[in-house]
Amino acid sequence: MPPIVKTVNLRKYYLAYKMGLLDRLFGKKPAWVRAVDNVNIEIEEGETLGLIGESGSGKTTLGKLLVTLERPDGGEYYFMGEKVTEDKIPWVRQQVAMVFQNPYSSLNPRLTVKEIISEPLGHFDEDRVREAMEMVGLNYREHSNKRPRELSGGQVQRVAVARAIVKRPRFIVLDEPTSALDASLQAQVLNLLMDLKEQLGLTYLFITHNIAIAYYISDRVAIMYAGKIVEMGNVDEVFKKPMHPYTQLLMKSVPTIGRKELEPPTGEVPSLVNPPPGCRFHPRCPYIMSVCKEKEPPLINVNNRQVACWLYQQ
Amino acid sequence: MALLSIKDLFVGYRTIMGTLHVLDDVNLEINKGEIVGIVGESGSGKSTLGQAIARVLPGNAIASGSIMVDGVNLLELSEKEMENYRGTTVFMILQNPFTSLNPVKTVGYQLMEAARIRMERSGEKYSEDRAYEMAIQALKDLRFPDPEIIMLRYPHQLSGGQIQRVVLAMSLILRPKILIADEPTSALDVTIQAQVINLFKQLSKEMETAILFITHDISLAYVISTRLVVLYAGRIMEDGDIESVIREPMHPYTQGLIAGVPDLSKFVSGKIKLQSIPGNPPSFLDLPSGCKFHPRCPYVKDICKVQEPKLTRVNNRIVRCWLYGG
Repeated sequence: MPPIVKTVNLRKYYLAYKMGLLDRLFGKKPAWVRAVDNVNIEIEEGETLGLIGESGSGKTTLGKLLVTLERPDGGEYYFMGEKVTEDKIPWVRQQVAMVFQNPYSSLNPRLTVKEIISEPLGHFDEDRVREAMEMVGLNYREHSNKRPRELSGGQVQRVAVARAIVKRPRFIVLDEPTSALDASLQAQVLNLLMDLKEQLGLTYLFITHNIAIAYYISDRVAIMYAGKIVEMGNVDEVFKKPMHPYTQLLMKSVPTIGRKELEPPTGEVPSLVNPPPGCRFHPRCPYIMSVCKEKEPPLINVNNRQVACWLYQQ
Repeated sequence: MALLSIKDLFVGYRTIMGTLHVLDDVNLEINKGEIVGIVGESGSGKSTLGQAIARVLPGNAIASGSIMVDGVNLLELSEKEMENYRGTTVFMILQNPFTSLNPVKTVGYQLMEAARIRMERSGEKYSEDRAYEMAIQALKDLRFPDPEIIMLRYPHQLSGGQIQRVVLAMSLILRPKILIADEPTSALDVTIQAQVINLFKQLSKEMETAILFITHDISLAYVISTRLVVLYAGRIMEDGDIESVIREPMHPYTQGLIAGVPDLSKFVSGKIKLQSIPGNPPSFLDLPSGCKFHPRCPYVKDICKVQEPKLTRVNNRIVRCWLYGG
């Protein structure tokens, strides 16, 4: 069976500033923000891929490309083995959904819970809304006529999840679904998401900057840096023995109980308008070689894992 | 003697629905060089506690009790007298870094102003060259590659991480006795967060600054603090040495909180399922009777529903729970 999601050199560039008429007349060069730059990923049916990256690494843009909220500027996107073209988008959208970070801003505040959940169906179907609400642990009688502001953060995020599953999609992009929630509710929502995946046979792309959460929920993880995937592989292998220097330093930056010292990389995530030449991590890398400044390393297979670093090139 | 000593602190907010009792019976002593992690969920009163110590509570707040620093009760000072304590005695880093700097003045102007205050209060004569030097040095300590350029920038020209580091640079210049940091890293990425955490630790070690680190992230509190204070519904539920609280939490709320933390150390030997505390945190409009945690507590007894337990000392720990005698 083909993977449910497959991208080949997928690319999305945004204009860094608006090009006015005068800019065009005077021949000003457009500047591009390379949010997603030649990304190749595959997600198998039934698995959870954790997408880890710092802010501005392009992880949300990649998620939006996969649910067709954004159109790619280059490369190909295959959904269930079929190449996604403009006329295939409605078909893809029947089978994908997305849950956003802040439920209070992603749900219409003027609609009631049952209207919000039935919206993707196009018509109101009480049975399906009730079923979706029960699956996420909300009571139809108690909550269906309330509006988002009357509910707590955990409940609103449950509404967002119910809205995502009501159409029975195959693939859901979860964009930091728990980062706006409190510690005690975070575990509730994470466990709910894992149960739903079992029950409905879903496939997830779980976008997060919280590495511990990615470890908890994912089967495989992909680490993104400045618009590129730098490492991808089985979650246990990547976490126990990270290969890319960025992944290694990222792991040493995660606050963990039982380890008091943090050893973060120096410097900041580079600008995507003007990324450094060669490997994008080279200005912060402790193992820098001369080739890193000149040529970009390709993503290659090393021991069942994919990594983009000159240290591992034969 | 403790550097900061809070006794019977009560803070309420006047609203149209009546007075909300946001902090009740808070007693806390903090010594020089101590880093105290204050953890709690949103609406547990942890930011209010920080604001009360820094005297930056909103206008509708009422506070009683005492907050003693160096023998002075901060709550009794007039706004004008408080000015002399701000910055060098108590300094607060806000959650949203964009609100802590003046948007129409350059970073350099604001850092040099901090340097001037530091010099005046330590009895030195103000010299502009010396202030400039201090500001540049502080920016260098915060790993800004080109501090001269940052000095000329306005806050809106910097990223969130950069601004938070500028505010930290300001605290390096002011060298406050007490630094209150209200979720200072929640807008930052993990790698930048780790850089900032290391700076906090360095500050407390080198200058014996007492740090109150307010956060909802227990793993983060573990890494930075020497002591942990757990707040729930405006009350201190548990207070003790960080290692022992994390290893052997006594209060059922702390136990639930720690069981629910997705922390990498838990997944070393295979994946385990995270436990979660049922229910939601209470609203201050409608606080439960007795122990404020009883509706969510797995060990609830009859007495928990009627009478609120007092803070009791058990070994080296302070805990508010009927399981330990109340």
